[in-house]
This record gives sequence, C-alpha cells and structure tokens, in this order.
Amino acid sequence: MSREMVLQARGLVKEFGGFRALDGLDLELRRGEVMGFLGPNGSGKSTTIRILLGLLKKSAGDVTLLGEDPWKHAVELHRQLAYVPGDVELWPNLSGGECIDLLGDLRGGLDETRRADLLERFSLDPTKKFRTYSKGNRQKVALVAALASDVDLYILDEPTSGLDPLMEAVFQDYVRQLKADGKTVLLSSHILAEVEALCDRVTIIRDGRTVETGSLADIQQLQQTHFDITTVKSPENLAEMPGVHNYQHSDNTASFQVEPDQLAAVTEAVAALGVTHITSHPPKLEELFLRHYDKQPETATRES
Amino acid sequence: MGAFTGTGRLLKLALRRDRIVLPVTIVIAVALVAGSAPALAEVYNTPAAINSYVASGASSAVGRVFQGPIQGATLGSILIAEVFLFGAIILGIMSAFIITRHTRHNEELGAAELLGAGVVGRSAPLSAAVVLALLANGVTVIALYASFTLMPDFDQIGSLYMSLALGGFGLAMAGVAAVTAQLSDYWRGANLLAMAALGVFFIVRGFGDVLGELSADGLSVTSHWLSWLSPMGWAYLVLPYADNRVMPLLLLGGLFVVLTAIGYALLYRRDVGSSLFASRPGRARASALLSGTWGLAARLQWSNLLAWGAGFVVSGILIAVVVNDYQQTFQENEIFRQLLASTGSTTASFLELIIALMYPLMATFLAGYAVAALIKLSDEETSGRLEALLATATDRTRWLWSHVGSTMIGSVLLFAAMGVTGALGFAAVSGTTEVDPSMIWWASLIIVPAMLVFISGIALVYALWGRWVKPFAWTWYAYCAFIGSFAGIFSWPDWVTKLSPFDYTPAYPSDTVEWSILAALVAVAVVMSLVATVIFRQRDITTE
Ligand SMILES: Nc1ncnc2c1ncn2[C@@H]1O[C@H](COP(=O)(O)OP(=O)(O)OP(=O)(O)O)[C@@H](O)[C@H]1O
Ligand SMILES: [Mg+2]
Repeated sequence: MSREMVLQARGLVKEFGGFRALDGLDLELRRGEVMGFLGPNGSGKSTTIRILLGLLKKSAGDVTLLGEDPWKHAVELHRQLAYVPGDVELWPNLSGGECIDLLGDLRGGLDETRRADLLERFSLDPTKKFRTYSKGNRQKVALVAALASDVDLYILDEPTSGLDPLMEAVFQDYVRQLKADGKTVLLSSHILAEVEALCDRVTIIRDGRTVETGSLADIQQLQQTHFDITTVKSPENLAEMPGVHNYQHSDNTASFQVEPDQLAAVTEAVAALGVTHITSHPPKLEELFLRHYDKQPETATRES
Repeated sequence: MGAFTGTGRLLKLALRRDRIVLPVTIVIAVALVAGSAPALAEVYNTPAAINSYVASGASSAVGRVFQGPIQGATLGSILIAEVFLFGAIILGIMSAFIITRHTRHNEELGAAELLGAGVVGRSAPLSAAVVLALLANGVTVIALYASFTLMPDFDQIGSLYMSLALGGFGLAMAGVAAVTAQLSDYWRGANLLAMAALGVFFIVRGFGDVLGELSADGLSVTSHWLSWLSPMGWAYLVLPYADNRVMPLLLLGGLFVVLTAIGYALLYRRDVGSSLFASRPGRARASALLSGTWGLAARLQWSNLLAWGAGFVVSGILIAVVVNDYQQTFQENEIFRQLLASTGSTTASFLELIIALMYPLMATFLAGYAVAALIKLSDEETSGRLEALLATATDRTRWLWSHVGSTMIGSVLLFAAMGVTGALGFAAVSGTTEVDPSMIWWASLIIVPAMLVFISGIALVYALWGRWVKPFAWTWYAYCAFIGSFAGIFSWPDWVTKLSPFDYTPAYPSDTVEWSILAALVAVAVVMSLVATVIFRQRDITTE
C-alpha cells in the first residue's frame, strides 16, 4: 500500500512562550485514509491542526501538506481542503445559510446539491441568525459548509461535539460516503465509538508526542487479550506466568489479560486446569485509549 | 437556590473583567471634568471675562444646546457649560455598557448559560451588573468631589451637587440599559438602543434649553418644560453652583430604581439567551453582495460607517451654524481668542481662523470611527471567526486590508461628507462672501492624511500585539481628542502634542498649506500599514 502521502509531520515542535505544546510530534496520512486523531485534553491536537492550516508557525520539525509547506502555501492548499473547528464561532448577524455560502465561496465554491441535501438531513434551518443557533446547530453550520465543498482533504477537529445521536449518525454516513469517494479525512475526536466506526487508522498523542499509530486492527492485535475462566483446579499458578497481567481470582474463577506472544503458552496452561467456563475477548478500544490517556508513562510509551 | 444566588461571584468576575476599562474610564472622566477646572479658573480670572463668556453662552442657541441652561456669571457656570455635557455622556456610556456587558454580552459568550446551569440564580447577572454600575458611579462621584475640595475657586456645595448630578445621570443610564438589555437579542443591539436613548435625552434637553427664557440681565436661562422630559435635563436642572436643587437628583435616582425594576420584570419573561424581540429570520442564501473577503468586510463595517456618518454629517452642519452664529460672540470670548492665537496666523480673517480651529477639533472626536471599525480586527481573531476564514482560501493580507482599507476609504467618504454638509450649511446660513464654501470642504478633507496615520498606527499595533489593540486604540483616541481640545489652552512640551497625528494637520484656511507635511503624513501611513502587513503575515493567529 504505497498511496500518495497527503500529510506528513516529523518531529513537529510548537512552543508558546516557554511552553511546549508540541514536542516532536509525528503524523502521517495517505490519500483515501480516514485517520482518527486522538489524545487527552490539551495534548496538542488542535495545535497540530492549526499548524497544518498555516494559522500557527511551527517552532521546529518538518511538515508538508499535499507536498507543500502549509505555512508558505496556505492559500493554494486551502482550496483543496475543508476545515471544521471544534468550537464554531461565526458572524452573529449573518444567517446560517449566509455563513455556509460565504465560507464555501471563499474556499472556491460549493456543491449545490450536496448543500441542499446536507441541510435537509441535518434538519438545519438556514434562515436563522447565527447567534440564535444552539451549540449543536452552530456545529451543523460548519459541518454543512465543509462537507458541501468538493475537496480532497477534510480536517475535522471534534466535528460532532454537541450533536445529538441522530445527527451523529448522519455525520457518520457522510464520512463513509467521503471514504467511498476516495477522500482523505483527518478526524480529531473524543468519541471513541465514532473513531471505531469510521477510521482506518488512528494516531494517539499525549503531551505533544505521538504515542501510538497504526490501523485499528493492528493495534488491537498487539494488545492483550482478556480472559474470564472457571476451572476445576485452582488457577492460582497462572498469576506467575510471564505475559499475564491484572490477574484476579476468587475460588476457581479468574480474570486476567495475556500478551499476544504468550497466548499459546497460557492457553495450554489453562486447558490443563480443566475448563468449565471460558470467555475471552480482544481488548476493547476504550481500554486501549484509557491506557494511553492515563498518566502512567510505562503504559503509554509502549512501542508497537 | 435563590434567584440572586451567585451575585457575589459574578460581581467578582465582572470586576476582574473590567479591571482595566473601568478605572481608565473613571480616570478620564474625572481628569477631564476636574482637570479642566484650574485652567478655566485661570482663563476666566476677572468678573468681566466671566460675564462675557456667560452672556454669549446664554444668548446663543448653539451655546444652550452644548452648554446647558447657564445660571449666572460665576466660575461654576462656566465649568458646567464647558464640561458637564462631556461628563454626563461619558458616565452615561460607561454605566450603560457595564449593564449590557455583564448581562447580554455574558450570555452571548455562553458564560451566563454555563453559570446559570450551575450555581447562579436567574437575577444574579443583572444584579451583579447593577451593583457594579452603582460602585463605578459612586467612585466617580467621590473622586470628582474630592478633587474639587482642592479647588477653592469653586463653591464646595455646588461641586458636590455637580458630582452627584453626573453620577445620578450615570445611574439613570444604567437603568435604561437594564431595560434595553432585555429588549434586544444581541448585546451590540442593546448598546445601540441605550445610546439612541442617550441621543434622544440630549436632543430633547437641547430643545428645552434653546426654547428657554433669558433673564433680564442676560446671564441666566430658565429651561423650557421640555427639558423636564429628559433625564439629561434633570441632571442640568440640579443647577449646581446656583440653586443646588435636590428634587432632580431624586428623580434621577427614582428613574434608576424604576427602570431597573422593569429590567428584572422583563428578565423573568424571557429565556436566558433569547429575548423579547426575537431576531427576524435572515436570508437562506448569501446575496451577491456578501461574497468574498471584501463583501464580508463591507457587511461587518456598514452599520458602523452609517452610525458615524450621521455624526460627521451633523458635525458639518453644526460647524457651519456655529461659525456663523458665534462670529460676534467668539471674538469677544477669551478662551477662543486664546485658542485662535494658538493656531498661529496673524493675517488670516477671524472666520478663517475659526474654521481652521473647528474642523480638526471635530475630527479628533470623529476619529472614534476608526477605533470602532478597527477593533473588529481583534474581535474577529479572538472569537475564532478569523480562524474559520483563514482556513478557506483567504489570504491574510487580503483579509487585513479588507478592514484597514475599507476604514481608510470610509474615512475619506466621511470627511468628504462633513465637508459637503459644512459647505452647503455655511452657504445656506451665512450672508458673507468672505469665505468660499469650497474652503470648508477642503478644511474637512485636509484632515484625511492624519486620519490615515491614525488608522495605520492602530493596524500596526494590531499586527504586533493582537488583542492589545483595543486598550491601545481607545487610549490613543482619548489622548488625541484631549490634545485636540486642550492643546491651545495649556502650554505643553512639543512632544506631548506630537503624539497625536492630528496635531500635524496644517491650519487651513488660516495658514498656507504645506503640502510637504501632508505628503509626509501619507508616507508615514503607507509605511506603517505596509509594516503592519508584513508583521501580520508572520505571526500566529490565536484565540487566546
Ligand atoms: N495560543 C496559545 N498560547 C499559549 N498556549 C496555548 C495556545 N494554544 C494552545 N495552547 C496550549 O497548548 C496545549 C495544547 O492545546 P490544544 O488546544 O492543541 O489541545 P487539544 O489536544 O486540542 O485539546 P482538546 O482535546 O481539549 O481540544 C494546551 O495546554 C493549551 O493550553
Ligand atoms: Mg482541541
């Protein structure tokens, strides 16, 4: 899979005064990918996106967007991308429809049928003044403006914050459509279900550094598998086996996680105990994220 | 949870948010009112000088509009005539803005909703704002009175009533804003409504005083009953330094209480964040006018241009009328003779001198147009709207110039308009052929180069320091207006006056026009705005 690189950041650093918001961040995105961009609050997602948009000047590192420097070629690049900010603030006296048309016009034109379709599916009244929209409806204005543009790259910074579940579903439909059309999407989000449903790959950052990147399947494979077992013999000896973590048991029932490379040895040992009940599942994405978001460094710096 | 829960917390928040704006406003108000007093006492140091000032003010229609109903030949009368209107307006605006800022503006920022869901009661934001308005006016009254206790030339009781009348008017305007804040659904709208009310108060009172009766000795005016219809009229009718009446003070206080109560009542009839006057629906599609960066700038700047345009047009006419009306009385007036002497020329006719004096004076006040237009730059950036714009194919230079350039073009239009209305007005009211009306048109337009410097200076500060442009622009504006008004009276070192670009404008038509100065002003403006552009292209765009 050597599709064209749409976005590439290496060792990206951004300092505000003395504070390092980005501290050597790496990020890669290929054409046609939908990439989940995750990290705890304040980890530097929006800062990264603002550098990609040429709004902030990087302090160090390399970054290219569609092969160009996003700071020097902001205007040309922006004709090929659409952006949805997490906190949408537009002109209070303009109607939603005016905001959508204006932003579309400045980006180089809107797809009229898509505009109409989006308004209908998001059930957004375009005649209301922007200041009178609720939080979710403000978000929809920005979403319609961005998704109605026919561009190659969509940069979405927490695009669904404030949307109700019905509208979230509409949004997900649209992103799937974009994916089918071969568009590239960078999606920063705190909604894990959304990421799980939409993204081919994820990049997780913390404190301005990339701590994990890869396809969802790969990441899951590299993680520990969870077991709940009830056995005839006492399962106590499992606790001491290499690769077993978070071991807990009461009587003959135990739960624990196993590292992938020890899976064969552990399942053999379990079988030898005489299994009366067993369930096992791959790690939930949520557990994975929480581990990375958690402050303990050893879990977060695990190399994949 | 009570309706007032959290008032204290909100008040603390409000004090924090206003910790710069309010002290600066109060200092400006006190400095201009109390600060001008010693100068007046020095200029009008003989009974004859006082008499001549009071007689000319009492007998002139324009004098009555701007000086109020003058009350006898005292130094106090002159103080009221010179600074009371200014004090009332500044305290009125301050008080109204305190209310709208900490109620409607908070709501629009979403802060009120957030707080409302948590630990503050429904009445708390308005209550905090009202308490802040009381505090601000109270401090101003005390500071004013305290400074006058140091000036034995002015009657102490009169100074007390003068201070109270100004504070009382401030509170009345706070009451007005407590109502307008509930009526409009947008804080700028609430401000505009309150300012419109201030304008009406001024006009009604002005008419009342113009129609007032002149006393037999020609030194006092008894206002027509129309003045009693205007709270600003009440403030004047306290008649400080003369009758020192209590009743109008009570009226002002009563109005504050009643309007605030109405504000609370209305508050309970609307949802937080919505309002009684629901917004009219807008267009579903952008019109052809709203396209491109310049289309957006025009849309955002239009109402500001119109509002100030009204000021420029009226000023043009006013100057014409004043010049004509005052020809005689000015010549006998000490303060004007001094001001005229400061413009330097000895060969020019009196009319030429006064035209050369009035236009730059007006201009420094009207320069507020540029401030109002350009602080939008930082509004757009801090709100995040600029981020949304620059994420489209909008070039930074183009965006910056859509505002800076349209403000420059707007200024040319406004000064041209003031020149036209002035020339027409002068042609209509004067019988003399001594001054060619085209001279008035040029007297207005000649200020444009200085205005361009003012604009590009503000743009440069914005490019360098973003949001700091707001306090800077307002301070520079107040400074220029102050220098413009008082440079002739006080003798300051050169550099003090030279910090105002308007001070460089050649005195036209009384002096020969030095084109090199005008060219230098334009060159400075060009250089500063180009530097601003280069810097702005290099800096981070942030909402912090
Ligand atoms: N203009 C600025 N000046 C100073 N510090 C800033 C600025 N912009 C961002 N920061 C800081 O940089 C860090 C990263 O912020 P950023 O907004 O990128 O986080 P984020 O990952 O988007 O968080 P969230 O999930 O809350 O949106 C934060 O600590 C923030 O306070
Ligand atoms: Mg963010």
